[in-house]
Amino acid sequence: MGSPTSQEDHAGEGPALVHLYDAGDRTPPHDLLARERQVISFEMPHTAATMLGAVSGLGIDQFDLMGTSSGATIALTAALAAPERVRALVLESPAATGPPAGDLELEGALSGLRVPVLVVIGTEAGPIAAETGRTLKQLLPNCQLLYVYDAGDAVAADRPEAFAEAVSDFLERHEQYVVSRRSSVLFP
Amino acid sequence: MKAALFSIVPYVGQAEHGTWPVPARIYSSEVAGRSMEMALEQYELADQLGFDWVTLAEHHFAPLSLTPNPMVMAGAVTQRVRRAKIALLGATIPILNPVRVAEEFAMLDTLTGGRVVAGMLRGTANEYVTYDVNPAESWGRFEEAMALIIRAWTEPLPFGWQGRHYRFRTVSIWPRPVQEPHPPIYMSASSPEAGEFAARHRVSIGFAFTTLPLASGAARHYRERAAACGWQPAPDDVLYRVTAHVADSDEQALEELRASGADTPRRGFSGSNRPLDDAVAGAGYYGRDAANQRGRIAAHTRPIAERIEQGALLAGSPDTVLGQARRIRDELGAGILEVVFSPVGRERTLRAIELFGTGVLPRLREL
Repeated sequence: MGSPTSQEDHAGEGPALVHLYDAGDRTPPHDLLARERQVISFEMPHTAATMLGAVSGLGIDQFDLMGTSSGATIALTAALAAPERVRALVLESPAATGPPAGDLELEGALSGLRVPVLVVIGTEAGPIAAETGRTLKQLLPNCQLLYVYDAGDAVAADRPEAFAEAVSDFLERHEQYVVSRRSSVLFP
Repeated sequence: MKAALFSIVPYVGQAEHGTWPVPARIYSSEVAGRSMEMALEQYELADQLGFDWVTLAEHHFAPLSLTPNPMVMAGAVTQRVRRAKIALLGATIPILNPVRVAEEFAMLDTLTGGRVVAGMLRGTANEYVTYDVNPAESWGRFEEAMALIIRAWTEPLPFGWQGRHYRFRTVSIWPRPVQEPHPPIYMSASSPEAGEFAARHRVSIGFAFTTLPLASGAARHYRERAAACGWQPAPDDVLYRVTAHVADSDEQALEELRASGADTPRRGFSGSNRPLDDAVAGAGYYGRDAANQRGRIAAHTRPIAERIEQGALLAGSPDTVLGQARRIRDELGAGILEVVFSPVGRERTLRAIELFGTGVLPRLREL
């Protein structure tokens, strides 16, 4: 069973972001995400319960939660178990976990999850990744589906700046992140 | 072989030439309106004669073309052309908003019941000045814009796009294209990079303002790369655009061409502002085959006989023009011959279209 890893390495100041990822995943852009938040990363394997317990042990009640690949499955499970603790959820290249076909109980649970969710898929990741993203978008009532151009399954490693910008904006503004704040003024 | 009629929708009155952008000091809205009506008349006649496609293009800031937004013109064409496909070659996608392009193509596909051909081009060098886009980013923007347009056409749910050049937080276009999975896409493949991209993405190609030898070499490169990617382009995947004039006899056709000033052709967009073209070339716009890409336009300023020899001009009686078209079929393997009828005066041009439609087109189909 894993424990929080390299917490100090990635710690920034600000709201907590818990990241569940596989040790085999290519380096996630924690440095970029840690500019405005405290990043606490957990290498898989983990269960939702051990992760939630470990975060409580750090004295953190509410947090943003990000899961990569199979970590996304655990993140989703944790959000279902403790929705009041998860401010927002980011699922990067989620493993094809959506609920097994016909699992009406899980489908029902997902359709009741009000937590804002961002599903991030690379455009080069293939049709199964996109289909998983669509399945989640259709089941989750407050879900944004984001394609990162020219990224494969390792979205964050392939396009770190693009990934971190979208995730940071989403974690700050949730579904309101669709409204641009970029200025188009060239010269005052 | 199929046939398309292309009009660049030229301004038919007096205007300044040999420069770009072209000042509008002697512009006449009456002439511009008449110019557009003449193009619509050609499209309508082509449709009646059985041409397979009618084609529009995008060019800016010059009387050479009055369709800076070919989507708008195509909207008018949908109300006049009831059978032929309507091809836009193209939208110059690196200088446009790709989501808007996807929406406009989908509108046209809906208005035509699925008869739109979606050309996606990088455009001539000068176009990058039009909307203040850096030509050094032309390829990157082109590739990403095409991917985004296809995604916008085909993605059933609202999605966001986090690109290199484009960012959209949520996209869900209405209307949707009629054609499944989406309208056919054509792109230019004159440069080796373009041919390689088209082969990799299974996109059809078109050649314009080039010569038969240059196009044949580029098409060979495209087919070789397609084979390496595991597919074989069909004849209809290759389009060749050529200027033509048809009359009852060869002598008459050549005489009418000469009388119209075709022996002293005007310079195109890029040749009209050399410093601009040099700057765009310096940004790497033309790729690794820059000399050929910049030089191929020059073939179109050669004398009539030489242009015919180079496959850059079809001229003569219907029999002669059919023979010239056969050469394009044989040497290039093009399945679509896209004809720009020479501006020899309204009546003569309409007569040339009619002669092509009745005397060339039926036999062209058997090639």
